[in-house]
Amino acid sequence: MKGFIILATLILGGTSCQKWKVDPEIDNINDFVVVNTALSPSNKVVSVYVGRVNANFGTVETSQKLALTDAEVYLRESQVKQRLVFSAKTKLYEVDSQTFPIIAGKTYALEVVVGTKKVTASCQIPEKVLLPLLEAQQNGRLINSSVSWKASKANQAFMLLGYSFYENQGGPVITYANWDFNQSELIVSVENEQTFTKNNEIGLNIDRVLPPFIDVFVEINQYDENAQKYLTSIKNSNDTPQLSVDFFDKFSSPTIRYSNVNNGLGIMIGYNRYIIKKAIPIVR
Amino acid sequence: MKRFFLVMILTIVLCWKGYSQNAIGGFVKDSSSKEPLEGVTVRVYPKESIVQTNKFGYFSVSEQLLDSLTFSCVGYSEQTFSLRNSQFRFPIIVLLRTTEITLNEVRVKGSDTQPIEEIGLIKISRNQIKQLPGLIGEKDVLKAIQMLPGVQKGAEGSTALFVRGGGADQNLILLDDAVVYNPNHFFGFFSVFNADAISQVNFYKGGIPASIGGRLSSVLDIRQKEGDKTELKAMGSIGFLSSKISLEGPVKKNVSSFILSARRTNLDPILMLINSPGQSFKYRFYDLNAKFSVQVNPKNKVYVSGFSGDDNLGILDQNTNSRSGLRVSNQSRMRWGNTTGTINWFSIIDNRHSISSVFTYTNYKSVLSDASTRTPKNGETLDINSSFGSGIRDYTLKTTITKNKDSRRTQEAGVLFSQRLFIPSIFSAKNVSTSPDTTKAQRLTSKEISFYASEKFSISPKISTTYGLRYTILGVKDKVYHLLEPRVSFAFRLANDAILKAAYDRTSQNVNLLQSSGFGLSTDLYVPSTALFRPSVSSQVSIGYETRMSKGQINVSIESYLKKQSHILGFKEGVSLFLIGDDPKAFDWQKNVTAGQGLSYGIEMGVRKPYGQLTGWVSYTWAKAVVLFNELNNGLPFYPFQDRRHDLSIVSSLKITQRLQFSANWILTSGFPVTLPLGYYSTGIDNSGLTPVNYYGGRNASRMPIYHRLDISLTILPKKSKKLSSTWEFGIFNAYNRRNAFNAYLQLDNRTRPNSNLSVTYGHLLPLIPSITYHFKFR
Repeated sequence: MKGFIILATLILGGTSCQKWKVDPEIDNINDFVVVNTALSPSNKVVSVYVGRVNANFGTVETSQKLALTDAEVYLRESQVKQRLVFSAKTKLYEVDSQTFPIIAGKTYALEVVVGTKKVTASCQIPEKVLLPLLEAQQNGRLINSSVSWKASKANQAFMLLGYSFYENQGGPVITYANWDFNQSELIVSVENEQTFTKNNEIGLNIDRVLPPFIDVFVEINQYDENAQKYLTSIKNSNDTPQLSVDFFDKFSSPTIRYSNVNNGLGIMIGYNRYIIKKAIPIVR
Repeated sequence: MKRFFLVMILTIVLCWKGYSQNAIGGFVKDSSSKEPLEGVTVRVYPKESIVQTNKFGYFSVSEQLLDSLTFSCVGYSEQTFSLRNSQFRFPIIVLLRTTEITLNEVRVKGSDTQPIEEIGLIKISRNQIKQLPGLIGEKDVLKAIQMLPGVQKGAEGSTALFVRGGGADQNLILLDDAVVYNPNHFFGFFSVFNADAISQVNFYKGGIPASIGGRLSSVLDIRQKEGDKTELKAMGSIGFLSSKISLEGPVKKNVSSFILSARRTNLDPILMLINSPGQSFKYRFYDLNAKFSVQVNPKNKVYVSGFSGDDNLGILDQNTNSRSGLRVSNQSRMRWGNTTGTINWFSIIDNRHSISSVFTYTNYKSVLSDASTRTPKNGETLDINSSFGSGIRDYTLKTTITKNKDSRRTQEAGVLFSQRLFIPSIFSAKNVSTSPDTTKAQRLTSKEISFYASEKFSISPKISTTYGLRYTILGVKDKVYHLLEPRVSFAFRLANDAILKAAYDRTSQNVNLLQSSGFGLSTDLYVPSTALFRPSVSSQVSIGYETRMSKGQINVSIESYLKKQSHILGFKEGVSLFLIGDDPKAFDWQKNVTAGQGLSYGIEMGVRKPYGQLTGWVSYTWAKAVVLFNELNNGLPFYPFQDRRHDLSIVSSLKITQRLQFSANWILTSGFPVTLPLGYYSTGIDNSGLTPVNYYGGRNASRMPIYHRLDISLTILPKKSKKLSSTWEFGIFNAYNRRNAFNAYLQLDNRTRPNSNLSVTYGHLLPLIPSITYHFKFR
């Protein structure tokens, strides 16, 4: 019996040294700090949201009500450290981009101090990736036009959000596309009939208003890997139930939203925004 | 590779060699039914070495040092045969008589418990299963297994087994050597195994023999009865949920026998009462067991057995719009079932060697169909039919040679060929009015050849070991895998009644179950290992200590284990297999799963009292299971569904008088891990600041409430020596009506009041359920 106890103790002692720490800290949830920021060279104002978790399910409070106003928020790039100031209007911590510019290729560190708690995160602003192939074609009567790219490297870690504009058009026709890490080609379709009407009037004859060429402007938001994971987790979260203990769908567990914030929740994203113009010839 | 094959074949041939006449062997049978008895302990004196009968009731021991043989088995009187100056005709036949159970305590000798080398093995007899209180009077093998140490239960009422932190698909369930892929009836509340047709259940959670492989965590080896070889018998029962009948008897007395068992639900008339006009709910299940066995001659025995089970659920919804006259009819059907077949030939080559060859066939299929008909008042009828199906078909041929080298060594070697056809999903859609049929099906084939060899070796009277190796070559599309599985166990006798045991098992698995529900529904898919997802592998170390107390009447055992698993499959985030029929991308299941690793460890304690007026066991398990998937939970480890920190089961049966028996089970387990929102927060960057984001603390970071339940039953046993014996059983499932949590959902505390609180609410499934079952037996 003694021998067994010694062996059992050794086994359990050995396994207790396992690296897999599982038990989450679920006490004092109200103390959890939430940080959200998306840095881009195109931002005029660099802003950071700092909030907290609400452990009560009661009345859903808005981000403004959950925002923390007394945090110390710093952004650092190399040796340059900048404190952000809380804006009562936006409920965000802000700094002008002229004071603290965001530059592609640089790495930025965020430090948020709330009372005795310190929350950190970092991100790198992606460099502009050249798209060697940019093709555009008209399908039928431009109801389904498409623009496609091929990445120079198939495994480039970035994501594209495409917005296309019709020349002389008032508002954008929003198209949305995800470019996964292993995807080498992206097709953004323009699928809105309103695009082809002058003055944004619905129901006009398409043939009458079409010019010989259409300039398509595609706005590309090139994100870092953290953003890719974060946006994917949002999509997955929307596709799955909010509880895992569903009768018929036990294995469809809620998706935990991705976070790259140390000692807290939220996300720090770096992205680079630019616009590509492409003319699509019109076939009548 | 060729060299390896040569070595394996040589091993088998060498087993065959070494022919000697200095051995004795034979069959041990029940004295009244002449059915073979498996697991009978044969003690060889004067050396006191131990052998056990195999599934054919056969044993073989060395003759050189033989003085006497003692045969002992739980439920049978011990018998000793002196071999001095005796003439025996090989093979000998030993008949054991059943113990007359009286209210007096049975004196148990120290030698009649199971041999020391069997670490991780638990044997359960048909009588033990029959003594347990059942759900709605239904006795269940898998429910009995759930109450053993080291086995975690599924959700409320489910027969799912989670062994030592392994998943529900990591258990190899064999019925007469044929794999049963889906052992569930009635959405997993009952297993497909009819207790009346079962002879013996061997459950391995460690120390798995090298001759068995294919799953990571456990082996449940179920043997069907062969049937009485002396007289015709009929037995059956009528219960609330199902009725069953079995017929068994000799085809040729003492030579061949048969057994036929059938079981069917009784729910149809009850469901008819609750159905309303325009809406009907139909459900039925049935299963059939059949076995024919023949002792061709003293050295050759053959049996053929089969099983077929089927579940069928139909929901019909019809309505007519009174204004437009449009008639709409929707019919949904869910159907699943297993069919297995076994042909087994056992032959004694000489007094040292025996050979067993078995061919098995398994077919599991499930279909989920939906038919919709819309008939306008003055128009053409539109029919839209769709169905989603899956299945697996398995052919296996296995040959094992056993050699009793001497009184200290028993060797076994064999080879297994297996071919499986997987049909993970068949989706067909038909719009009768407008479009042609569309059918998409996946078919995957895997081929497997396994070689195995093992030896049981008694190094000294105090130390014995079993070591073996299993080598599998698995061929799947575009890929061949080589899997090596060493197995070794040791037993050290510290004192007469104290044994220390240790084992190492490496196991692999190339059949995975993708479960959408954990309830054995038609949407569960069996998929093979592929070029993308290699076979899962598990390594387990276990140590155990076993002793006997109270003059051998109480067995106490403690086992500790550590298990590591790799390449186990899990669903990716955002995937719901239940919607597979609607989602074209789901046809490629490989895009929806991800591979990870698992770690589990724990301590199991068991106290068994197999004899006397009061029998039963108490089992307690402290366990921990953790899994890690790079693509799940942000790459952080989390507790899987089967992780339960504490699990206590008390199983007891008290014989109050000769005709009155009271049984009770009490179960207490930790709640299973779930992903519940603990709070919420807002984000300020993605225009969803007003939309709260649930904070879960991580995947499965919360726990369901503690589960506990008491089941009781009172059985009035029949009077003896009657042609027709009747048994009445009165049972109560969940005797104190504990409202155990089955599922969870978010609910507003007060729907009418604005700003009312959202809270997690638990659903409950099985309340107190009384039952009456009538059992009968004709001779």
